[in-house]
Amino acid sequence: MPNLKDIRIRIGSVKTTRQVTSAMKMVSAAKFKKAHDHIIAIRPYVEKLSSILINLVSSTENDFISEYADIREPDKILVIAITSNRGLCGAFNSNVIKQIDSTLKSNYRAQLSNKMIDFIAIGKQGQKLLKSHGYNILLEYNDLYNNLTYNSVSSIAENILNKFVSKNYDRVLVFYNEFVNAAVQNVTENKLLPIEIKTTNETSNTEYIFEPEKKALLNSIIPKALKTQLYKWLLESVAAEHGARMTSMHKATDNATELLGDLQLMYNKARQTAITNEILEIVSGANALNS
Amino acid sequence: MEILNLEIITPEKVIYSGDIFSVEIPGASGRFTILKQHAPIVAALKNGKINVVNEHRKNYDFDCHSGIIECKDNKVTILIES
Repeated sequence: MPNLKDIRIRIGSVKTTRQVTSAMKMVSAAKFKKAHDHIIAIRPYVEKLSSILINLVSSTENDFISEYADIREPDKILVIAITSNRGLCGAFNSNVIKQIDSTLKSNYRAQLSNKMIDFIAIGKQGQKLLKSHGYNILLEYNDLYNNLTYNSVSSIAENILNKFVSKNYDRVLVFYNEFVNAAVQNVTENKLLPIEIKTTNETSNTEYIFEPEKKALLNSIIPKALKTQLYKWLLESVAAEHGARMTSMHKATDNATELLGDLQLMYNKARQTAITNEILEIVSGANALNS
Repeated sequence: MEILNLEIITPEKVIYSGDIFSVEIPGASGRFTILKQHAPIVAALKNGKINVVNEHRKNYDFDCHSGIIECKDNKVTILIES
């Protein structure tokens, strides 16, 4: 039986841990709310842009060619891993890396063995994990999270688009945690480039004036759409991160409470044993005197 | 009488939404103004100022670096990068 003092110290330390985890949960909840607001704020932009784009592509004849939609044999692949800078959010980051691992091993085995796959890490945790798996990390953008705005994402996206257009890479894949709701994240694999635009068969009956002509217009809209896409994924990942941290900190708080109960019980038992022993000693001492 | 409605949207938020009299924009091939009953148009925007005149003839200016405008059925949507 551990002695009373040891148990008291442990109870104290578990209590402080519980305080910390529950505070972290509150902080994450507040940050989550903010991140969620950002996702909602970007929605009208994304919806309008994609509707214009679909409209434009549907009205273009079949000779639609954009340098961003150029489908080539995937010889060189760029993988973008969106994770978080901070840990303590459960399996949030390792899930992304696991997904990357399994996708590359099943779909791009040849490129993997020829070392034709490069990585861009957004998030320290993912970078660490990728490094430990022995992947070649081309660039990292860990500071992005300090200032996550459309403009900062836009310059990164431009960099990536240039790499694709100049044929350094034939395919760009993005892995991130899709935000479903506060408690659920889904690791998702998305192809950023070459872009695929779903065309609707129903031609809209409005005849638009296009200025400048369609091809130039497409070339100015598609990069915007891609940048917006990347920005949206990053925002989702941030919201998902806070959601994941909220859940895992909630669980940690619950566990601490449970542990505290067990420790308290153990403490009371030890205390009772000590008292019983003491009484026993007094009684037997008194008996010894009487006899 | 039909009314022209305008929305200016950036990736971060909707910065203008309401009924207007006219909007003057820096089109890629020249500035132009949209009044009500404008033909459907999709145009690219270049660097410049967007000038909105609302129903009460009040002027509003917005900076534009690059963007897209769509106008259809008296509904104008301008997408700009903040």
